[in-house]
Amino acid sequence: MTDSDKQPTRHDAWMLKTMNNQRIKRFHATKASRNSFVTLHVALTTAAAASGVMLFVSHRAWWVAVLAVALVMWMPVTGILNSSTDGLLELRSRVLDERQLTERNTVHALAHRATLGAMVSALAGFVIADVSRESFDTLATPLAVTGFAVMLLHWLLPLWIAVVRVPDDATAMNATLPDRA
Amino acid sequence: MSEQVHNRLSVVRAERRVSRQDLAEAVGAHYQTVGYIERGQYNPSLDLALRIAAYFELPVEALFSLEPFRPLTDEIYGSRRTTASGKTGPTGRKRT
Repeated sequence: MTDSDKQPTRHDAWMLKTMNNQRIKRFHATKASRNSFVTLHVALTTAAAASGVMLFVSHRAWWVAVLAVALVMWMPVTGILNSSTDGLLELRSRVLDERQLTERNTVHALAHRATLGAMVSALAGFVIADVSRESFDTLATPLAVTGFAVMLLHWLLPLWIAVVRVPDDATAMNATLPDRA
Repeated sequence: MSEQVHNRLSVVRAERRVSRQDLAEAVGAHYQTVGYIERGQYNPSLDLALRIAAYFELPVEALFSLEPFRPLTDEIYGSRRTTASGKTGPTGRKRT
């Protein structure tokens, strides 16, 4: 039995309702607003990751404040992005329909290709650094930071791609009139 | 690459006064998927197409086709009606 064949649980029903909350839809009704949220999310992710790295590297406690502020802002923006995809990446297969499952596969394939490109680029960079006889001590921090960045990309790129691919839906869910004649 | 499947879903849905949400719930799809199908951005599976046709109690070929549909007014009233001057009128009706 595949996941699609299983009956939705109460948790599935709650998640489906949350991800399709119509009160949040107005925040991301247009493509421009969705792209703005993606840009903001990329910036907040970068800020949070950078502050985390700086906290670890510099041992200065005030980076915790930057990290906390970035994370507090990051969480609701992540929620808005997930809402704009109707939970495409968060819901289980059993509550998605055939078009959503196809879209999720497409998003994952695109993100996989982009992440592979990022990993190959990072590897090439370190090979070049090794050829130019950099010692491992000098490469340890860049290696850790690059690995962290690629991990974040692997995690969040599908969400960003999914949001960018969402087309504008001109009519409301309860409209009986078609989009066009 | 799949071929474009043309459909009359939006016309029939409007005629029957059925909302996207009602249709989506009846056929087990997301309401936006109905919109995707109507705009020709997604071709439904045979399973979904048959469920939609069954909901409207219509044959599947009345809703979906590989060829573009003729406008319903043309099918009902004909599209080659001419005016008194011999030209085809915009509504297809003969001017008196």
